[in-house]
Amino acid sequence: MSFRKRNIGLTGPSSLSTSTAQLSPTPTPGVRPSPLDGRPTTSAGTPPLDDLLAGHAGLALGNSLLIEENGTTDFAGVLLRYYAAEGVVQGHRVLVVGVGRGGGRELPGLVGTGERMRMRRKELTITAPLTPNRGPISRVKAQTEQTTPAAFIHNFDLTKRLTVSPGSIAYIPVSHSPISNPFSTIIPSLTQSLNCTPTNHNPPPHNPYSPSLQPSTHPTLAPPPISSPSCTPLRSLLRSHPARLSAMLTLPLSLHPRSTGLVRWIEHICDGVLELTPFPHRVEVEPPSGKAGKGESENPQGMVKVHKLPVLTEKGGGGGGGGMIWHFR
Amino acid sequence: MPSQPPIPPLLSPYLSIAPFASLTLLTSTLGASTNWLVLRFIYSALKDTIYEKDGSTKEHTEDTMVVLVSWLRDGNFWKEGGRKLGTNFQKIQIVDALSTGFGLGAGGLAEAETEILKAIATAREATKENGEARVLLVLDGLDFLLAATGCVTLEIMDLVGAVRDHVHSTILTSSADLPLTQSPTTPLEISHTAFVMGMAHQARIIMSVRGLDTGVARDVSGVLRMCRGAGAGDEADEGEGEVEEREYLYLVGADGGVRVFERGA
Repeated sequence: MSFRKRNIGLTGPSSLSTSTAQLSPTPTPGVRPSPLDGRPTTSAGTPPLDDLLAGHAGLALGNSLLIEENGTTDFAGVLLRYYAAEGVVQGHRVLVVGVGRGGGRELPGLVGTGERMRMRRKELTITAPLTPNRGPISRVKAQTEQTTPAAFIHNFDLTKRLTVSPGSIAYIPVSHSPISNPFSTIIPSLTQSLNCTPTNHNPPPHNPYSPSLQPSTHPTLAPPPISSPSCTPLRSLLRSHPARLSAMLTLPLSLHPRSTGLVRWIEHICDGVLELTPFPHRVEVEPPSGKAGKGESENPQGMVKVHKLPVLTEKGGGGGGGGMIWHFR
Repeated sequence: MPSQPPIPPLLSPYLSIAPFASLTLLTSTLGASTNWLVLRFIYSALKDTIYEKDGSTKEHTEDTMVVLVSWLRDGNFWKEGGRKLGTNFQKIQIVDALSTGFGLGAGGLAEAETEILKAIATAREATKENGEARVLLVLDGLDFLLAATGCVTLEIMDLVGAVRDHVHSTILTSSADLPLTQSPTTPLEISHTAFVMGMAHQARIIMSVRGLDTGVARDVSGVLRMCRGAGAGDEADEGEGEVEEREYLYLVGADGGVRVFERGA
């Protein structure tokens, strides 16, 4: 007969991963250890998206997530805005590539605490809403102080606007010169803003987000040096700051189909790859980002295919092939 | 899933030290990476006992060193994975090409070659007192140089040839997704196809990993296929070095353990 201390888990090597050692003891706002192996994660901005990420319940720091979208809708852009808004609310430094200064004004506003609790309960009954809650607006308190500081994720409302203090978002301009590699300017400015932050023990994670990361020219015309190395420095940047940086990128598939080698390389370089395929919407229904009425909220608006997941796929686990299919609303 | 042996039994004949001057090509696709396989190759090369096909074991007689050059993954990733298996990192020389970015900058392929040869020399130096060690060279994601720098396929193949001269055997990983290798049209796709085909012709064995054709399953991570490469040569037909062509399914568990099994098992 043998005895075992009750509070010692039975899990073996997975809880002893090296990333645990790198975890700083005092928590950074908006960062929590993954329930799977303890590596630090930050929220991807929307709870259902966090749930998709292979059980880590968040985007592991030092990883990137590529969101591809078919058609002319902008669901990926909505997800990016949530990701950025979450970063702003948590006090992270948000770096934005490829969107003008106006982008910061379009971040979704925060839903008040009281309502947030209500919403959370409501979400349990509705499966995986990827679009924000459109709850009773009458009771909304715009930004309350009572939001618990330990909150990992906040609820946002697309119909409202987040007030962003001027310093919290840095915009990195993209040069549109057809000759030079646009990334030759982006990466140095990313590195610079990473380096110029005070390097105390607990630097807040940076979330650069890059709407429409686009190869500068048509893939067939562009010689490889211009096109695919673009995200490599980003990958090495992410890996060299494993506790400070996470990235989310988007790519319109209608312009850059997945059947090309170039896009496949971009996918290889990113850690997670999701593909959104919105259903063609009826004419009389309002465009989804314009907030349809409550009645439409039950209709799925498209499919999410998971091609690659951060951490899991690198280890060799599945999640590839045909990809998992989810509905988003 | 109960804890798995570090080397799945079905795989052990393929993971044993390859013959002198041989090339092993590992190909991956987007959702199915070869990292677990690379880790097992390294583990198997460094451990003291060799598993024979019939299940018996024998002791390694020669000292082995591993030089791991990785363009897509950093050193920490490999160390973390290797530590779980119990790999002896004293015998591994990791060249983290992702962080240093060599081969990508102005130095180009010549710089990459110099770095790799330097690492091989260091590995040899470390074991000098115990006599000549065998060096196993692992080039992870070399095809990435092709995509990132736009260098000519022939230059990369030259690089591979040059570094292979200095080691006992070489393992090379490359991606082989359909968009990259089927009906190549863009310069990137053409050079990638040429590279993978060229390497497949030099390789003794090709191990390809891909997702399950029928979709995603909870209990299968992907399909592993072993093929004889064109570099297997005639002597492979008799006896020892023979490569058996098989296709298995595999499952990588949450703890990193790998189970390899036959279809329907």
